[in-house]
Amino acid sequence: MEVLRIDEIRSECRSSSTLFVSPDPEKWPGFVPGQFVMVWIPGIDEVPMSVSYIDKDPFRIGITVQGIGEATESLRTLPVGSRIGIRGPYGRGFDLSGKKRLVGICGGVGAASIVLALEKAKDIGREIVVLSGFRSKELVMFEDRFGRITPDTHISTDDGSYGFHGLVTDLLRKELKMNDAELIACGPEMMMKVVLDIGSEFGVHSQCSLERYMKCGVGVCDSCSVSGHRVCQDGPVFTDEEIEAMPEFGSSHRDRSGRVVSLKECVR
Amino acid sequence: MAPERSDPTLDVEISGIRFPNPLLLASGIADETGLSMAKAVERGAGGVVTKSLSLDLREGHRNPVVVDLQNGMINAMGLPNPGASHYIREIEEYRRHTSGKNPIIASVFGSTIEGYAECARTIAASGVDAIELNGSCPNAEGLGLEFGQDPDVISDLIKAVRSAVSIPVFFKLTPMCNDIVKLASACQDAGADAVVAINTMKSMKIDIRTGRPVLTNRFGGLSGPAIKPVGVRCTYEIASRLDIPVISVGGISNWEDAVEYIMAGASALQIGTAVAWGNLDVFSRIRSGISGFMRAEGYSSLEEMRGIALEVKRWRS
Repeated sequence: MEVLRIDEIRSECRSSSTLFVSPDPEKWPGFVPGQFVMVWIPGIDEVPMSVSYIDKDPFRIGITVQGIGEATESLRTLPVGSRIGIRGPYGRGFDLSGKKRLVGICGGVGAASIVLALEKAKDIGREIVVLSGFRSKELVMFEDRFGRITPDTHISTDDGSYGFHGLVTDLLRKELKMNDAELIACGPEMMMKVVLDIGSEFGVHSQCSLERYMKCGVGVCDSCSVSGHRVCQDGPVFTDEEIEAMPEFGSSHRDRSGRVVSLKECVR
Repeated sequence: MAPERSDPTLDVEISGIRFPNPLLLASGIADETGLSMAKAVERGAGGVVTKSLSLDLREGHRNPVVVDLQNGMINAMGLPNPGASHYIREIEEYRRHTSGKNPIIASVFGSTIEGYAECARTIAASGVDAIELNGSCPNAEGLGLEFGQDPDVISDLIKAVRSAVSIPVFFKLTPMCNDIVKLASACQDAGADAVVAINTMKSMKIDIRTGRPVLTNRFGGLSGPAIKPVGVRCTYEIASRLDIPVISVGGISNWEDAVEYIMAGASALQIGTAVAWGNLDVFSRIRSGISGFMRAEGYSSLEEMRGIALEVKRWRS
């Protein structure tokens, strides 16, 4: 673990901010968008976070935090100069090596890992479409970054206060034709379940970034297990074929003791 | 041309339980769910040990719960588990997804001797093949280690569990003691079927920037290559003095480590940290490495190789 001072904090929307830190670049040459880090908030907790920015010169990373619980809210509101610990990067990220049109679809703070993956995909010359959904206008984030990747960027809000009025998966249904694209997705599990259904309807392959309660982050504790697959080490990004073989996807997760809990009871 | 040698056999038997190979998934590693454990078997493990179970649900310590070091790992999970009766569904799931040839051992702990015995009884009812008593967890106060450092307490604990269940009972030992042979001897005399050596060693990590202990629990258990020489020494000492089988654990990450433990007298091996550092392929990698070594050196069974370091007359030139 590297303990680092927060260099800069950028507000992304009403509930999310990005913290920038400068880790030793030696640990990051093989980084792939979709991988995550464990962030230690001294005295509070340690939480898994996806990486949303990689700045090359000078090297630094950004972590976009949505305040949803005690740990993330305290992380989000730390002042510049505070020390946090970073372990990682860990896990398996997105495979961006395909040739077809790449549709990035995300819900809420899931945009954090999708925007970085799409920037990388653009660098390697892929044609890109962005579908990014939020609950309402004041939660919209990364619109400028998405816009710089492609003019083919579509924002939706559940309440219609900005962009398309409806679910981001409704946009996806309009966007796809048979076999003409690949999908990468990150967001609420029920959203990704719909993404996978629509993908299979159109014969389009998907990769989804899953989230589970995580303790160790390195494959020891099995807290993040989904049908025998550890999100921290085997994922967090899984292919549609892999997810199809996970009966627990979209249905249940494990609580801190390892007990099976229905996803609908999930309060994080 | 010499006839093709047949592959050396890797199967082992410990108190009537047959394992197709001696490499078992250690307790507390990727074993919260039945499917995770089944996956270890699918990828080459000879058997598995469950997460340590208690009668009542435990959430474990708050994060951070691990410190990853260059040559080891410190963990303070704090014995999280859903409780033995709830965990039975995981045993059933494991059975549904494995062929029946790969034994499953339930690791058990409690806060009293009666608690251990009741927990063992509860989980034995699910049809596990053996009980491993965790008398050596260094990161949960009042649980585990307190029952594993006094020969008299060990003896009472094993006797209580013995009379509660009819399956084999193993005892997992701590290396943190004056004389591990005394502890292992208490296990043997009380009727344990095997000892498991060693558990992690109590340790800590302080972050020098903030001056804070990193783990929320402050102390945790050190595992991985850093403790392997201690595990080999403990195995050797027990095997040279006692007849009880030793299941060795501590820093095994390649086939050379495995062979070293077997030569020190190990009957079977458990792998933990290496599963986290590499992946589940570690089982098949070590298995084929052991086979290759046995072929090259002319051993036809593990028995031929077991404990050769213990007797001068078995040393080779």
